[in-house]
Amino acid sequence: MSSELVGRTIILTPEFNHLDALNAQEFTDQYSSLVADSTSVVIDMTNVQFVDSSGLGAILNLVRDIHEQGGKIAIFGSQPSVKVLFRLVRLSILVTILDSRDQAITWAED
Amino acid sequence: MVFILSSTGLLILLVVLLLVLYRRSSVFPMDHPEFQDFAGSLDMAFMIMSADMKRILYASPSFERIFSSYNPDLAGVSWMHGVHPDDFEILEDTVHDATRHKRHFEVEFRIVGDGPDRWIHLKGFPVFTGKRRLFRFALSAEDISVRKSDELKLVQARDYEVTVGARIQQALLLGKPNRKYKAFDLASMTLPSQKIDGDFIDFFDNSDEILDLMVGDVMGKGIPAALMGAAARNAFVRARMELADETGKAELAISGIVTAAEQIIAEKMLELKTFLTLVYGRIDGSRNLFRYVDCGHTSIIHFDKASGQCWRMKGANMPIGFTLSQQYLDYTVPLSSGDILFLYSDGITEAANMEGELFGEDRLMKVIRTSSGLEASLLLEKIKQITFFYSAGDFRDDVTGISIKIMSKTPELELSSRDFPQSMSSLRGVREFFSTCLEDVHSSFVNHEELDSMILALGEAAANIFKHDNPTSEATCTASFRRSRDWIAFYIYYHGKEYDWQFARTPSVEKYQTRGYGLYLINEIMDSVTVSFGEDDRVRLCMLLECRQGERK
Repeated sequence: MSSELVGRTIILTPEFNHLDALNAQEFTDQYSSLVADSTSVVIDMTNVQFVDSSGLGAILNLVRDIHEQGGKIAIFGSQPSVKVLFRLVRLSILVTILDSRDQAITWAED
Repeated sequence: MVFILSSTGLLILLVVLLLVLYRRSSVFPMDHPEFQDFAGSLDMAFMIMSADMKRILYASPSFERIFSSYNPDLAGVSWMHGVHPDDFEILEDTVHDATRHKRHFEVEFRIVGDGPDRWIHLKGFPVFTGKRRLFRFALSAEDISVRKSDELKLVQARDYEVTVGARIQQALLLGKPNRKYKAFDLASMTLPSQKIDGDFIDFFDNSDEILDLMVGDVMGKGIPAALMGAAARNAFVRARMELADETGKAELAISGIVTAAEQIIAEKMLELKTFLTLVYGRIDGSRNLFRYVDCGHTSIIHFDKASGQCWRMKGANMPIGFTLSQQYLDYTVPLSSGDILFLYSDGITEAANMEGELFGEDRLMKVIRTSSGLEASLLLEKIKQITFFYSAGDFRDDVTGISIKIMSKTPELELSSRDFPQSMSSLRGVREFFSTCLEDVHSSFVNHEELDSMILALGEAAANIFKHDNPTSEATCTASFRRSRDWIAFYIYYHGKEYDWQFARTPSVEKYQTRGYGLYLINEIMDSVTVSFGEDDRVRLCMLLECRQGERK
């Protein structure tokens, strides 16, 4: 997973093609050190073609951590198949879901 | 002189003594008044007869009382002329057998005369000379007419009860299909046990190719259970009529029918502290589907020709009468030509052998699998015979069964299968397999979003299996894809334990819940999810999507 600091916002980019039961723990292990004390996080999901419930669990862990730090978090670049999952579990209740990187940066600066 | 005897009581010993004395000399005072008083005071008569059993050489005074309808000619005419013709052979065989084996005998037979026949219990033994020549018979006889009459009345009463019970059951509890169907061959049977009980079956004709059927069993036995069974059956008839009137629809949802019937009867059942188990099913011969609501009844056995195995199908509902206002879950599985469905009461699986071992579902599945080539009625007959012999004809409960053989000519469009190691390393392979199968499905059948959600659900199913059921490193699972014009079915066959695939409480994103989404997604995306259990710990997970004439519902 790569990370980029834009202003005060960290953009996390998972470099997995799939985020599922096989690598959800890896996702968690990688983000932990990158988002310590961060209050504005954006996840770039462009590379991820598929997310299952285990991957969703890993994302929700990240969301909870950021919220517990008093921060905010958004997701952009979700592939259609990933959007299906997010819609079915109503993830937008917790996380701002955006289409593009520009939208995400604008959202982070607000 | 040799006596060959096997005496069991004092009276036989007395006869032996008499015999000895009689044979020694004529000094034995048989006509002595004191002996006559003694012999006359006994209920039994004892006699000494010639070796050919024709002449009575001596008979105690009770003889005339016991054989009152027969006027013996002590001078020589065979007393055996008085024996009932139907009993003569058994008497003769018994005596012959005892003589041949030089042992005592006991036999019951009737004596005919002017009045009613009298039942006699005759005990005796042959007496031989020193040269092993048959010399005499020493005998005792007892009139058992009263006991026999009581026994006969009991048997008649029991027969009457069984006969009337069977008639009541036939009239009130056991429906029959009205006609034959092109798409499936159907047969039903009920073998009443010694007591009437609350098993009931019924059939409701929906159309040329769609038949509803139900098999139910009310708790308990006897007339109360039978009456409740009749009331339950009637509740379903009423529920169907009322729902049809309300909705104006010919094809009613089966869970709706069960719910409506529950509303009619469950409150009464709760009051009476009884309940019933039930399977309400619908065979749709036009679309090759079987829908069912299971309320705690015995499993439905499905012989699936494609896998060559039998599967036990269950539901998650409680019996009717446990509680009010259940949300009844229904399930749907696809069928193919050559498949068999078998619905039954626990009288079959709980038939016990001499050691008390139950017949069980595994034996039943084996019988069905190995007899899958038979037509429905012959399969039923075979199951009846096997369970009958297994239990030596002593059924504790009624034996009720419905066998259905699918004969549909509607072709399946696709069938594809692949084996995978049963481990998490196969997760992406299983997803890719199903994804490839779905690539060719016509776009009108499923859009991209539906396709993505299907892959999501299938991946969740595979992940659940690999997480929870990983019995051995060598185990393999099979992913299978089947499609007809009316449905898409995804199967995963695996080795595992019973696992509640229906437990799909909606997870809470708001509370950052990180687990429990898998089952929720599978049940949300698929039209029906059924888990069935086969032989050798095999499990079949079937996930179904329905459509009509190639279009999603």
